[in-house]
Amino acid sequence: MSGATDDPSETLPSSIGVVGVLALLVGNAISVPIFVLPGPLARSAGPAVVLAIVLAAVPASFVVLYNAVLGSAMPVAGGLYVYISRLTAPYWGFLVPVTIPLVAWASLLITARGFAEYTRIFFDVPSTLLVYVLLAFVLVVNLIGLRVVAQVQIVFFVGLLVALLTVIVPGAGAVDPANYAPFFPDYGAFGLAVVALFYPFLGFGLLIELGEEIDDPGRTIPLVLGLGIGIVALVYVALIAVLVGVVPYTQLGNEADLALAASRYLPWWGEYVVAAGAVFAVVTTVNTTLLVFSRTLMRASRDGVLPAPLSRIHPRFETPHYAVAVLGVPPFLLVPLAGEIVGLSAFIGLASLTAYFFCAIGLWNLPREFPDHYATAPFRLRRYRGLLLAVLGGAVVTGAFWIVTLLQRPVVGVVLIGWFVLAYVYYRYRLRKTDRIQLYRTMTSLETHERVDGDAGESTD
Amino acid sequence: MVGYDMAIGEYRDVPAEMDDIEREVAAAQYPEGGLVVGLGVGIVLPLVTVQALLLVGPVLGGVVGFALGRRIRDYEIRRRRADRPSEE
Repeated sequence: MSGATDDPSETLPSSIGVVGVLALLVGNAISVPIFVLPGPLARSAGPAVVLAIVLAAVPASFVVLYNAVLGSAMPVAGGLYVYISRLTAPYWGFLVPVTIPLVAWASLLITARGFAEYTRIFFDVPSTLLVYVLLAFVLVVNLIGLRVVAQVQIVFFVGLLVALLTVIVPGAGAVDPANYAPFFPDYGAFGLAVVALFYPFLGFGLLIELGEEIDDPGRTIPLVLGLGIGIVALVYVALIAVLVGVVPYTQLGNEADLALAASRYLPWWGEYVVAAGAVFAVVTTVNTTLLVFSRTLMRASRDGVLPAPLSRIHPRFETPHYAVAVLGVPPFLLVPLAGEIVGLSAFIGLASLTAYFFCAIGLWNLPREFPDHYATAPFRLRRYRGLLLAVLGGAVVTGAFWIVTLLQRPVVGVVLIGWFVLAYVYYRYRLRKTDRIQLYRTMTSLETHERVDGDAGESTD
Repeated sequence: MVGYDMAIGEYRDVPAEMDDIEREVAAAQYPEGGLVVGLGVGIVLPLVTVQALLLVGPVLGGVVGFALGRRIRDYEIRRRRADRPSEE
């Protein structure tokens, strides 16, 4: 078992309350998709992208449900990895920290591209240069640590909301219903848009990854998840409906199209308001991307299934600096892929929903395998009603995502499944570098401080 | 001794009921690895032949891979048990 957590230097400080968590959650979710994805997606999917974001909210709702139950029952850092490895099988859990770098790199590239395109509305600077500037900013801020990030996040979150309302409210009056026809110019592109637009909702996964660092997680997590999904879904639908209602979809296709839409019904300053909102959104996203994902790598490293340096904490900033570097440095080499917005978003959506499918299986197992954790959780479902529906629903949606993606962007599915195969090879390699029996025990159990009394007694060896 | 194992899923064997040979083999995750490889084959083959097979290929590949993985796991356990007396 990883006894590393007994060392205070390897646990992170508890520091975030309800307001801070809600700001982190909504700020992370309301970001790239609103400002970057709708234009490129609407170009091929047409006005149906409004329906696509509504459909994308369906799996997002399942994710919220999984997060609410698991997050309140077992608040641990590195949530998805821990839940899946402990509640299904070690290898399925191992796929989380192994795939997270790819998701983080893709997310950073999309975000950096959006930042560059909107910043160029203010300054005539080469787009590539701005991409590199943002990547460097992300790396530095995440190395500094959570406390600074949370404070910055709240400031940008308020600015983001002000900018969004400035766009949506007057934009609703400028919509031309004729722009909604034809509604379905391309059904295949519409299906892919649903997959890609799942990405914006991934901010909700943030919560269980930060479990150890949230004040009163049993109460805070279900509360902010309910509030967060409502706010985010409402804003997404409104903003995209304004975009395709104001500008004919044949004139869309660029990452900064929301600024174009605003220029149609607002005075000269309209596009600058949108651009400012986009920059706020981008900053809120990048502030949390590495922050959250690095915690998962750190936990997997503490378990021994990833190299030990990934769990080391910087003595001054108290951040897992090696893990942050693994997530933040490679995107500098991948900048040429930053223009593949739709493909990158589909990859993120598919990879994430697949992880949540395993999470759903784990959720089904939770009441039986960790009964005392489940009994003490403030938010629960009946096993053969709510839980069963959540698992079956997740399975259906995940299967549909895979089929749509393989038919529309096969390279995305092939890369992901190929990565899983490589991950198995690496998993076997890690087994050879450690005590495999001990590793198996560790990956099928909770650490001492994560147990509740009864479940601790389940250790029956 | 106090261990750390907890039962983890209906479709898996229960770690708490395993001996060290079973744990050592279970750690290799043969069924799960077989499932992923089978999925990959079930995806790539339809893509290079008939795309309509994507509706059944991945599921079929995954099931076959998982079943093969279980066979390998059972074989490895039997082999290690057979080797144990000679080592002692």
